[in-house]
Amino acid sequence: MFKGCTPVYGKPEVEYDLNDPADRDKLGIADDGKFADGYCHFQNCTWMVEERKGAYHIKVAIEQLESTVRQLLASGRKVTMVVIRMKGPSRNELRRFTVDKKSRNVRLGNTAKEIRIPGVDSPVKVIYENDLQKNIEDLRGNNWVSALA
Amino acid sequence: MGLSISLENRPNISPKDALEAKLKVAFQVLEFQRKYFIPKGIDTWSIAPLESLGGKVLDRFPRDSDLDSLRSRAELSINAAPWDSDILGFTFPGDWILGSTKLTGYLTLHNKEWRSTYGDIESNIYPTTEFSDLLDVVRTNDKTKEHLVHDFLKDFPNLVDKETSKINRIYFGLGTPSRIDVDSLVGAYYSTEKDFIRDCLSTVKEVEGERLEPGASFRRIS
Repeated sequence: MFKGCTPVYGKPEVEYDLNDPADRDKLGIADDGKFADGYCHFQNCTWMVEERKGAYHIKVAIEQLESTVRQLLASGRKVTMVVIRMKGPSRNELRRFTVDKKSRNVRLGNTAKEIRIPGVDSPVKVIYENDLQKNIEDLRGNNWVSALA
Repeated sequence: MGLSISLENRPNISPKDALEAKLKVAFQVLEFQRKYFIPKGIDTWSIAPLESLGGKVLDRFPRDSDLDSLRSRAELSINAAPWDSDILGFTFPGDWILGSTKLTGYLTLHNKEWRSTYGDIESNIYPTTEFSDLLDVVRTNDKTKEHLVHDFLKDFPNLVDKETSKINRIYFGLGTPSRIDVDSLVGAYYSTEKDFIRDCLSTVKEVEGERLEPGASFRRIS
């Protein structure tokens, strides 16, 4: 059950629960099942789309993010970060996707290419429930490094 | 329930013939699941099933649940050169209707590149707050579970025309069912006992291999 966006940069200032039809209507997101769980804004100007996964399935999570981001951008909304939050990796998908331990960026295993949702500069990031606090710190730390570079 | 079906690799068969054979099996799956899954179109893609994974949608044929017209559309895509059958894949978006629950889902035919992760044919729901996987919904109704899991594993491999295709493995499980995530499996079919034993051994090797790293020390048990 989605209980608000992960507080990656503190408590979100603006938050939409995309499982709530009223919030989806406000944003113009279709009720086709292919939508992420949350869309939120943090004080540091990050607009984040988040998908939470109970069962392992990175591909489906990326599909839901791709569809949501496309609709948000089409209605003039901003998206600067996309995150998948899941229990942990499945061995099967780890052969296909790798997650960088520091940046939390997902890469395609065979090419090591970072996965990007069209229209979003930042690569897709994955954080795990079983190491949530550390993963959030990694995301924050990585953002500071990027900001200073 | 992620459903994942792997077909046997046939030597000396052209990529086009292999794809046509796979498509035939996919339509048999759709026929079998017809009471529960209603396709609502067909997307033809190349390279990967998603744009962010490097894929490209070549054709989108929405709002049609008639299997014959979906089949014609897929055959048209296969025959419409110049794209190579090796890199082609199809996704049938649709609705799963299980009792009073209606959920959006899909059935995907993966190409040569993606079959190693998801099988030749993959089917599931798009998760909701209530159900994270098709398995969660199937488990709520014994009759549905009997048809979609038990009967499917028992009967489906025999329905497939062995002249053109042979089912190698079928996995039912949470998420992305495979031999290496044994704890997520609820059911499996193997075409031979040898395949089952091979799966068991390679799973043990894979799982235990993580612990048996070079330099690991062992305690002698006397």
